[in-house]
Amino acid sequence: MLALGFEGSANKIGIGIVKLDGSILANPRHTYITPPGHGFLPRETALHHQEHVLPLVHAALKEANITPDQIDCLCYTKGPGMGGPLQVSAIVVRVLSQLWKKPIVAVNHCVAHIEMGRVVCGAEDPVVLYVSGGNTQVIAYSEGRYRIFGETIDIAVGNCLDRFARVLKISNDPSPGYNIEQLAKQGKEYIELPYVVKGMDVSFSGIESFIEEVANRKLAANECTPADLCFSLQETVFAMLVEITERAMAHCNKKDVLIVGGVGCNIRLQQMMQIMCEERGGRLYATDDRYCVDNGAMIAYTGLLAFAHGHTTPMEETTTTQRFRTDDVLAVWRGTERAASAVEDDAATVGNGISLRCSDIGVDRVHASDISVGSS
Amino acid sequence: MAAVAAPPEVVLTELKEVALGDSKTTDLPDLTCNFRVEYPTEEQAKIVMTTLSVDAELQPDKVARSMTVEGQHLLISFKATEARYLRASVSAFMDMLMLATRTIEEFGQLTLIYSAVGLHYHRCLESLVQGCREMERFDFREMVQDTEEIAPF
Repeated sequence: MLALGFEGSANKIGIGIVKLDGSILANPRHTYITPPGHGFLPRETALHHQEHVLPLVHAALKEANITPDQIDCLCYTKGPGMGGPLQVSAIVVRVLSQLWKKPIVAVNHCVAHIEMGRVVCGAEDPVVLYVSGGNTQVIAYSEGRYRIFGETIDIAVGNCLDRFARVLKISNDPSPGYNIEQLAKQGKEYIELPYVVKGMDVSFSGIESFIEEVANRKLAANECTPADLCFSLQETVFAMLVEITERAMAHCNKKDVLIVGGVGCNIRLQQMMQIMCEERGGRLYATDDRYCVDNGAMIAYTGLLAFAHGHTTPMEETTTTQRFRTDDVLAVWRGTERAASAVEDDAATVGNGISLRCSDIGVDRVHASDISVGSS
Repeated sequence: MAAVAAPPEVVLTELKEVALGDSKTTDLPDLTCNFRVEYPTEEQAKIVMTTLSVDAELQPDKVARSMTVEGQHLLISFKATEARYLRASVSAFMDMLMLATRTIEEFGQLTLIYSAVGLHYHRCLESLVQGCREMERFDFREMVQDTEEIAPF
């Protein structure tokens, strides 16, 4: 089975063609890069996507060496993301669906990151740290859904890094985060910054305001270098992420960690997470920018998983939505895994914090088993 | 609805009717913008209508949009309470109309046969978009001045 996937929720437009086993036949992508000191705005980003989406479809079909009639389903990002850019993928998918007579599958962007990470790394049931410019979540699979155990209460960690890159007028090419990472390697002095972990959640906006003020003051007085600031910011925010990830691991009794999302290709974050995982006797699974950063293949693969379990999205429901929670999606393709370990899991979670969450979702559990019975 | 149908090989789209409400009244006027786009086949017009019908207007209490297909023509009608809402909705709609039309051109079965006609689309759609923008720019200025005079925000 083959799927064609469209991703355009942020500043990248990507088209991917994948098989059900996770092999990627094509995954071209184009990024809207703004000048230093500027972020990407919805309207300009949507225009960028409108310009590049169709040439990318041609490029993907050519690279995969397939014709449209070999495709089984068309997948697109329903959300979360910016409204205008999201709509571009949806429009093209709707037209192609009618031209080629193919079904559509709407995909949650966050779930797509998780599934792509799992299939590329071979991580079976990890705690997932999803860190990007728009999202920061610690996620674990439980009872048919990807549950959010901790998340940012304001801006995403990638947004914090991006904004700081704008303060320093660091280049956005290939990405602000990458350039901060390179600059941080030359940092020598650690400047103390607020460390904001609130239970299972984190907050970055205060840190960003703080370091912006420090940067303006200390750089003018020549008391530190931009490299020191980048180094200090990375160390602080990554330590916070490692802390909440470790707590989620203890909470869910899972040993492995998978890092996904654009910030996930930061080598320093991977190093810090690696140390924590080793101490707990677990493994770290991480990928490079081809799969970490938004791409079409992750949407195609996740949509194909749902399609293989009998899910399609009717035309009138192929809308987009700026807010779309990771735990709104019933991960039907993981239903069979659940059936095998459900009894054990249920027994294991009684008596700790998760049991409350399980009882909250009793309805979903019935729902999940209904679907797995229906599709088997 | 009495529009003169231009020969398809010359003009495929036309700005059919732009009616502006009387902005001197204290009641919010209903502004309308109606236009039609001609496609090589009825099927293509229907594909575009189906595609664009999925997304509802973001402010349904301020802007109403309706579409119908008559033969090879896609008829689009906007109605809004203020010029600025009309401008925003028509402009956003035009971008998506162009995208859907280009997608059909590039990936439809009739691509080769109608490639020459396709060029006309672009020119006509672009002039239509330009026309709408000019119309809206003008109205927008007037509207803002009038509104401020009569009913300050």
